[in-house]
Parts: sequence; C-alpha cells; structure tokens
Amino acid sequence: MRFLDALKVSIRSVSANRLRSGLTALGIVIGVSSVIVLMAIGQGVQKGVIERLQGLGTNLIFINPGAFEETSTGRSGGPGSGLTLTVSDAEAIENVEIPGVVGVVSQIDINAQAIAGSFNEGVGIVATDDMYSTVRGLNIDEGRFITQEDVDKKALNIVLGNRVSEKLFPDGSPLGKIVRISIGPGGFISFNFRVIGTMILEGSSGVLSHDDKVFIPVSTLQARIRFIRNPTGETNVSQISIQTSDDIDQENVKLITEELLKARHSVSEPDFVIQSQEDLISAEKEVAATLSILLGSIAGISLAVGGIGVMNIMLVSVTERTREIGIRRAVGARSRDIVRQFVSEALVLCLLGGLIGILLGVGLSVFVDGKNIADMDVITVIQPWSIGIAFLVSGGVGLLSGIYPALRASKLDPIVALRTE
Amino acid sequence: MIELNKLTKIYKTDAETVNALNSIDLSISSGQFLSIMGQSGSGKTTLMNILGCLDNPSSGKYLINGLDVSSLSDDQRSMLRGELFGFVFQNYNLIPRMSALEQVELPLMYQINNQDRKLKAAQALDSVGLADRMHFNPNQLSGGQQQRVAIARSLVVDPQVILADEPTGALDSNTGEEIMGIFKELVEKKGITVILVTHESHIAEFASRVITLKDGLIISDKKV
Repeated sequence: MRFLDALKVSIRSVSANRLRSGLTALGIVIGVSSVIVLMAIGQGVQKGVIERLQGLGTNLIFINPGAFEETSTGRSGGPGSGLTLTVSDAEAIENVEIPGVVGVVSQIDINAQAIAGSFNEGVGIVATDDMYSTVRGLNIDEGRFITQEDVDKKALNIVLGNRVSEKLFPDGSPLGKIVRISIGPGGFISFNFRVIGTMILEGSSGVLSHDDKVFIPVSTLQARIRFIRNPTGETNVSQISIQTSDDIDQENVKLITEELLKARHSVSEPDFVIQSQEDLISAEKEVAATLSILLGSIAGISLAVGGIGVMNIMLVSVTERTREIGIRRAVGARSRDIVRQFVSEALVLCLLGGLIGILLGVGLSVFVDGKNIADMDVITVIQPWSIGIAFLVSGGVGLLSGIYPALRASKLDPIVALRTE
Repeated sequence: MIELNKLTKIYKTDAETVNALNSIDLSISSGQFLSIMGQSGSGKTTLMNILGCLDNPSSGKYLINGLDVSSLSDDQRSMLRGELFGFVFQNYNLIPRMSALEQVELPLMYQINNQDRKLKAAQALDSVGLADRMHFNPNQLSGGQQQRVAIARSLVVDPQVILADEPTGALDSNTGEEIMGIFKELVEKKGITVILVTHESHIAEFASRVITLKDGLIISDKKV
C-alpha cells in the first residue's frame, strides 16, 4: 500500500467518526496549546527579568554587606544581612583608581513614610551622592538630581521617584514643595525636605525599581540620624555600586575590589558579596529557565494524557474494525499494511490536534501578552522552536500511541477476524 | 494448477485434538467449476481457508502452479492472495461506510502495480451489472447487490481462482441462482477457476465437479 493511499484511508476513517475523532484530538489540542502557552510565559518571565536587570544601568558591579557562608568573624547570613560595608570602603575603592572603573557610589536604604498635605505614602529612602544618577543611569523628569553641593551642605533636599511624585502631588508640579519624611517605628524621627527634582517613570515594579524611591544626600542622613553609625564612628551602607567601562574585564575589577575590602576588613574570607550585573542576569536566567522547564513539564504531562486517550481510542477502533482488518488481509493486505494504516490514522489524529493546538496556543499567547492578570503583567514570548517541538512531539505521540494498537491489529488471524461480527 | 498432497490440518485444544483435514489428495485443473460439499464440521471451510492461503496446513503439500505454499512467508502469502485469489463470503464482508467503487478498488490498493484503479473497479462493477450503483454504500444495497459488489471486488485483480464460501447462504433462492449464474459465466467466458463451498446440493450442482467431505476425508468426487 502506498503512503498516500494509507493517508487517504486514515483521513476517511478519522472523518467518518467526527465526534469521536474530535474528542480524541481535543486531548492533543489541549496538550500542545498548553505547551506553547506555558513555554511562552516562561520565556516572557525570563525576558522581563533580564530587562529589569539591564534597566539597573550598564556595566555595573554591586557589593552588598554580609556573606553567603559563615565568616571568620562568626557572622553568618545572606547578602545584605550584615553591617560590614561603610562609606569609607566606597571612598577607598574610588581612591585606588582601578583601571576601567568610571564611577563608585554607595547608598543607604531605609524604609520611611513620605507625607505631603493629606497624602501619606510608604517609600524607600536612598541616601546617596551626586554620582548615583550617573552610575545607575537614572533620568530626571523635572528639576535636578542631588549635587555635590547638597552633599557638602547636608541639605534637606529630596528627589522623588516617579510614582511617589504622582501619589503625593497628583495635581501640579512638586518642585519646591515640602515633603515630610518619617523614619522608624511611629515615625519618631521626622524631617521636612524640599523637593528639588522628580525622576522619569521606569515602569518596572518590585524592589529594584526606582519609581517608589526617594533620594536624599547621604550626609544629611549621617548628620541627622546617629544610629546609622557603627561603634567605630563609620557609616554603614546598604550597597556600593561600581560602574566600569565597556571594554574592561569585570572579573578583574571584582578580584581587585575583593582583595582591597578583605584587607580593609582584616578578614580572610569576604564578609561581603560582589556580583556583576552579568552574574545577576545569569542567575535570574537560571531561575527563569527552571521555571520554563517546570511549566513545560506540566504541559508535557497533559500532552501525555492526550496521547493515552489517542491510544485508547485506537484500541477501541481496532476491536470495532476487526472484520474490516480481516477483509483487507483477505484481499491482499500484508500485516505491515495494516500496521501502516492504523499508525497513520493515529498520526492524522495527533497532527490534526497538534495543528489546532498550535493555532490555539499561539492565539492565546498573543492574547494574554501585555495583559494584567491577577495583578501581574503577563509577558509572553513565543519561540519558533517551541512550535516546531510541539508539532514534532504531537507527531511522536501519534506514532507511540498508534504503534501498539496497530501491531495488535496486524497480528489478528485473518480467519478469526473475518468471522467476527 | 492446484495440487493437494496428503494435506492434513489438526486443531489442538487443551481438551482434544481434531483432525479437520485428514491426509487429503486433490487436484484441481485450471478453469474448473468445483463445489465442495459437506455437513458443518466436515472440514470444508478449513479446506477453503487453506486453498485461499488464509491458513497453513499442519502437514502435507499444497502446490499452486507448482509453487509450494507452505514454504512462503506471511507477506508472500498476502501477495499471493491479492493477486491469484478472489474471495466471496456468505455475509458479503463489505466494509461499512465505503462506496461500492471504493470496496472494489480495495484489492488494487495492496498491489504493487496499481494504475487506473478507478477505471478497473468501475469495469468490474459494470461486469456484474452494478454500473448504476457505484457510489452506493452497502446499507443502500440489497443482499444480492452486495454480493455482486463482493464478486466485483474479487474480479478486479483478474484472479485465477475465485473462492466462494456459501455465497448464496444469505440470499433468497432466485437471487442465489442469479449469483450462481454469474459464477458459471466467469468459468465459461473468462476461464476462471471457481471453488464453491456449500451445503446445499442444488447450489453445488451448478458446478461441473462436486466433491463431498466428511470428517476431514473426501468421500465422493464426481463430475456432473
């Protein structure tokens, strides 16, 4: 039997039993479309995370206090948990003039309430200096960023992140207006700041976004709040950011910085964590890839269930058509012709389901792209290869689920098959 | 053209062993119209299945045109069935939801050289008087018409032998005689060998030679 004839016979018998074929193919449709949609969501998450990390600026290296492992000083915990970095560490890094380093800036992060008139908003304070907007690649919307003069004068000036500005001053420009900042439980430390600038909307959300932050000179914070100083009189910082030039090996900068800080802290193992933007991106990529695999596996299970459905229906079909098989054998069909017929029938079912599933999956992915679902901005990225894989897998499922019923059909004794009612 | 030599078929079950065919010698020449008669259980259907290469003998020789069938593989026997034999059954054995034309085309699909399938199938249907029923499904045809479709299906490959197992068993006597008339014509005009299995003596008498089986043995062999 020629391949084309087998295909024609299969299409005929699939279309002869429309409802059953449709329901059987539905399992594959759901499986394939969920593979495509979930893969697209996984890829979308990855894209979103990378964009957010790239939005932090370019060519950055971050140093955070604390360590991954227990240090020689007995301190343990994750990055950010300790108080090991100081403003003078940042100055020291700047002073050794490591080749390729174009900017060093430190910051103190504190949570606070910002109050203006009747509006009250929870914000993150970033206490820093004039280098911050340059190193982190921030753009001013109105007014100006903190200057060296603000730092020198310990000025009570403040720059508002875009969302903070929108919330506190919904009507009109906040420039020159007063914002009250309350720090600590019950707001027991409060200062009035004058707004000198606002930032452009970054659009992203989460702890990395600057939209919910306010920026003040680090010297102002040092002067007003004594408890941010450690017993040696040093000011602890939350993070030091280093910007390097494009053509430099960041690993080398990381190494020099690490040796310098270890020497300054008199420790043999780092009591801080140095990560480049690339490190963060590849770590996040790994997380997103794991997510993709997880989502893909879930979808894969539903595809496997669909395949079992196809096999089940093929077995029923073989039983129902025993006499037809006997007739075909009598008029000259070899057992391999029977195998071919039933395998191609399962293939037709699965590829049909696969095709519809691809259309449905791509359609759904395009539909949910950019939509806000359950307070999350869903981004989907359809990878062409995921469509190819979905199609190949549905073909593979067809082959697998067709082979066993087909072999059973081909092993039927023609005499017995002909007598079956 | 067909030569059976000490052909034996034994069915073994757990409880007993049945000799369905007991060392049968039979020679059938080309163009013969042969009836095989016998009660049920006499072995006539077993003989028919073996002649049609649907079953293998337990021992003995079966030669077609000098070729020893028992030495052939399953695939080779399938090919032989498709090219040398046509089958006609009591219950017609048509495939549901398939037009008469497609039914008749079916054997050609399994042949290596299968050009002009539609044309050959249409000609075969025409030769049994069903030119105007080509696109009818089995459930739209009468019993006699269905059996004619089955005969056309057996004819389409230009077989040397047609094996008919109780072909009139499900038909009234008039229609049955019409069908037998078609077989007679095939023997006389086309020189096809027709081997008919029946338990009705008036049907058997259409043939030119009648053999009677009992308990797996030929008990009579006479020319009519």
